[in-house]
Amino acid sequence: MSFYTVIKTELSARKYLICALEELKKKGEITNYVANERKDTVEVDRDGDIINISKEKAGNYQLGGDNRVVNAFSNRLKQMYAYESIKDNLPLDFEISSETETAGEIQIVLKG
Amino acid sequence: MDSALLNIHAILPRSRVNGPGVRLVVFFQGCKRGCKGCFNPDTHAFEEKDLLPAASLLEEGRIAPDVEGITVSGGEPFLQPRGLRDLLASARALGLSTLVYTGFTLEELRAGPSEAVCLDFIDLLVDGPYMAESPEEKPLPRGSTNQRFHFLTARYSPGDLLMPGRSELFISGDGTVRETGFGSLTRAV
Repeated sequence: MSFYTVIKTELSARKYLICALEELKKKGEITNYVANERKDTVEVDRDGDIINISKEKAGNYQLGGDNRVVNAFSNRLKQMYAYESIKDNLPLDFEISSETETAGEIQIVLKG
Repeated sequence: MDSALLNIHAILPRSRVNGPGVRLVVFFQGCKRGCKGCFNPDTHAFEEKDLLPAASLLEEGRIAPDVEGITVSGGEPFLQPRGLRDLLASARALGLSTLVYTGFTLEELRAGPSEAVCLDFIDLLVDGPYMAESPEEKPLPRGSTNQRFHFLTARYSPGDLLMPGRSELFISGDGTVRETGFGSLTRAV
C-alpha cells in the first residue's frame, strides 16, 4: 500500500511564521509586517487592514483583528507556513522534483 | 444497479505517485494483516469511516480531466470484495484504468470466488504483504521489493511504472497537509 496521512498545521514556530509572511509580502498579498521580538508579536498590514499575531498560552500563534479579514488570511498564512516548514525540514535524501499550485492547493512531488 | 457500500478511509482526487499517470486514489478502511512497519496503521481498524456506495465514488465531477485511472489502496481492498468489484466495474465503464494493492498473493485471490471476480476488472495488481526489512528504494509504486507487479491486461507494461517521485504532498488552502506515496517523509509540520 502507499501511505496516506493528514496533518493539521498549527502556527507554532516563529521562524516559519516570519518566512511565510516574507513570502506573502514578496507575492504582494500583504503590504508589510513588523515583528516585535521582545513581545513575540507581529503586526501585519494587509492593504490597510491590520492583523495582530501573538502567542497564546498553548504555544501557538493566534491572529487577532477584524474577523472577516482574519479568517481568510489565517488559512493562507497556514498554507504558506506549512510550505516553508516542509521545505526546511526535508530529509537530506529527499529533493523537490516538481511543484505546482492549482485551485488554491500547492502540490509537491518529492524524489527520494 | 444496487451498489455495495464501501468503508472508505480517504480519497485523493489526484496523485502522480500511486501508479502510472495521474490517478484518483481510494484508500479502503480495514485490514487484519498487521504488517510490521505498515505505512497506514490508521486504516487497520474495521470501524466505520465514510460509508459510500461504490458506484457513486466515480460520479461525474469527482474525476479531474487529466485522471487516467484509479488506484485502490488501503487497508485491504479485498476484504470488501463486493464493493471493490462494483468500484472497479464503474471505473472500467468510464474508461479509467485500475490498479489495486493487496496484501494477499495473486494465487490466494484466484482461489477465492469473490476475490477472483474482482481480478477481471484489474489492469495492474500489486500483491504481497509489506516487508519493512526489504524497502523499495527505486521510484517504483510499491512499498517493499517482495511485492509483485502483475499486468493482468495489456494496458500497462513495466516501463509505465517509473514514478516522477517517491512521495507527494498536498497543502490545501487552509494549511492542511496530506502526504501520500512510498518511503518515509518528515513529519515536521
